[in-house]
Amino acid sequence: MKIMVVDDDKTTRKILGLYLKGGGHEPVFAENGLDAIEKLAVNEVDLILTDLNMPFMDGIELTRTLKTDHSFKDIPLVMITTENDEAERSKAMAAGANGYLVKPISADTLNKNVKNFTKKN
Amino acid sequence: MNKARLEKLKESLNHTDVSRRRQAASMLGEGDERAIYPLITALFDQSLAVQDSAAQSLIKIGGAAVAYMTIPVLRKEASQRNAALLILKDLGEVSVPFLYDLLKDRDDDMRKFAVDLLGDIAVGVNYELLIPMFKDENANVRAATCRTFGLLNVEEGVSHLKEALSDSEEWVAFAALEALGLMESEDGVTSITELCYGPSQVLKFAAFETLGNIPSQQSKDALIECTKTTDFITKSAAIKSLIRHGIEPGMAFLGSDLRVMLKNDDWEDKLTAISGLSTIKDKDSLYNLLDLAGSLDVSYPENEERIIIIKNAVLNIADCSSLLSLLDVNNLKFRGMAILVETLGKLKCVEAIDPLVKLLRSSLRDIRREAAHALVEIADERCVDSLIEALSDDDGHVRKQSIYALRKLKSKKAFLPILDLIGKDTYEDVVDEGVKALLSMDSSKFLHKADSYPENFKIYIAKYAQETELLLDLSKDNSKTVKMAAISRLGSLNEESAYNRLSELLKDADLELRRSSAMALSQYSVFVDGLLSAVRDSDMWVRFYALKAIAASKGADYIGLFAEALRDRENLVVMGAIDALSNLGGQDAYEALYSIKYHSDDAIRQRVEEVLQTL
Repeated sequence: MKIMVVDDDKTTRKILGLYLKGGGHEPVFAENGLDAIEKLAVNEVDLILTDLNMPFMDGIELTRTLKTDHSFKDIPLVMITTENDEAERSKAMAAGANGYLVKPISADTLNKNVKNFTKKN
Repeated sequence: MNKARLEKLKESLNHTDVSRRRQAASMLGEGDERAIYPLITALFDQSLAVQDSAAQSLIKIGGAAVAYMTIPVLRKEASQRNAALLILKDLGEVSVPFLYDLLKDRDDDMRKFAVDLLGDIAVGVNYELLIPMFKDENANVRAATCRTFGLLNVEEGVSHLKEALSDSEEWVAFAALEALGLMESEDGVTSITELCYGPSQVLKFAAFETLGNIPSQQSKDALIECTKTTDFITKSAAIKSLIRHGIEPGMAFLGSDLRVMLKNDDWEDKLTAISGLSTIKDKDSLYNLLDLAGSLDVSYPENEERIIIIKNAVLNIADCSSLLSLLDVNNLKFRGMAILVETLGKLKCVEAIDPLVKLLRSSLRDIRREAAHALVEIADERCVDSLIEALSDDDGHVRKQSIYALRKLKSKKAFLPILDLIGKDTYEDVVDEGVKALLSMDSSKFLHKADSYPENFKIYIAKYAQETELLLDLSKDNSKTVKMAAISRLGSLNEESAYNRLSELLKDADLELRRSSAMALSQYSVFVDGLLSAVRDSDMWVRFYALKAIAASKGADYIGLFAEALRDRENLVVMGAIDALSNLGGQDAYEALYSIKYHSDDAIRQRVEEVLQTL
């Protein structure tokens, strides 16, 4: 499965990429929301994992944009952030996110969630 | 900014029209500290464009007051928080004191933001205040601290980073590895190496990568050791890191792993493997390399470059015997075989002559071409008979290559077969090559019957022969094409008889012959008296080339001629004269050119202007 990781932090992109590869998936990387939208035009992805805090287009804005776009609204999108906060979680879900995971996350947890979110889809 | 204007802009920040609000936010950037609060408020505008303008204006105003007032925005919603992060980062060192206060904040994210920003700013940071953050209860803060120490690159951080390598949270250890790699910390090598034997595949992989970033013998030795003990996925990371260090020819033990890596789907892995195999000169990989090249579709542009890389690796690795043993491998794809044959030629493998001669009879045209080409490279007397046989090949390229090889060998035995071939060959490039070969093998024998040869032979003889008398004869040939070919060679001979002939031809009734003669003289910068009248020829090209020839040979003596040519009716001749005067320089040239400063033609005026400025 092709999974997009959207995060402005290089180390996070790298570790999530290794976790996904370990789970047999193919990661595609984007540095922020705008970059993600550009890359979605040329990559057919099965799931998007996005950070919340990013410059240029944050995770909430990216979620809103994708969920109102006919071409991308069916791609499951999971917010993956350091903010373990109920209010943030509610905002993400209200924007249209399909899930909310808190960093740091283990490889097992990530891949189990990937499986669940893509199955629902 | 005066108070009234400030008030008006503040008011505009509440306008219903987004563009008016954005404009106001942007213009407030020209203001002073009084504009800070309204701009902070504008960060909460519903329009992203207004938010962005407000952020840019705050950065423009800058200073401690902006940093101080931006800090609370970090606690707001994602959009404002991101703007605040950007502003504080851009403000730089002035933000630093305010960020220290956040290091003890109860909110984990505030602490993380502060640590991240201190790393991003990295100027004027007191790292000692950050050391306690290695023990923060929140793993994200600990990981951010590792990253920041990597960015700050302070030696005192190494011991803490080494300790963080055994953090209970994998993310923290991962960030510590990245930081130690960034710092190229030799001191960290032993601790990093321990992770190469640990249970976490991700940390193992990252440890190998990190060792590749630390340029020391110790990390290289650690990588060599690790390659012997790990599974293939992590081993490939170790090998890549070793190659980054620069592997040595003696590391033959990597051969089998590199051959496996060569079969990976990922081209980055393949290229790494090719580079490694080439360094250790792994002969066992030759078949795989040739097979890989053979399987590439050359219609994809990137594959052309890959084939070149493989060819270079094969050339570096192979010797004659290792390639000869592959010639009998039946399942080698044709392009792989072509590269093999080409390499045999480049290595000048005399032992390959017999098999190459066999390949000259191959059913595949490309293989026959490569075989002929390889025999050219080897150029050994023992292939003469086979090359003569190949003169009757169906493929023109093979015939041409064979002639070329025989020319290099100067084989007299091939004289008649080549003469016979070019008498009937339909391809002009084969005839051209044949004439060149015959002149080189036995010039007098070949030119003995020059009069009786067909026109195309004579043209090529005129192109390559050295004999002045022969070229003078050909310049009088019945065929105009032959004459012109001979004329263009006469200028290069440095012989008085040749120059006299060219001078004579400048007065010929035939316009094309006059042109060819003037052109030959201008090309070789030869002066003959005939040029002085040729500058008044009825044809503009003859005049142009005559001027060029005079300018290149005795220009300074005939400055008056160029001045006169400036009034020629044809622009081409005028331009030629301008160029000649420009090269000569001096007062006379300047005055001559100045006299046509107001020429009726735009292009000439412009050119004269340019030249006058340089004289």
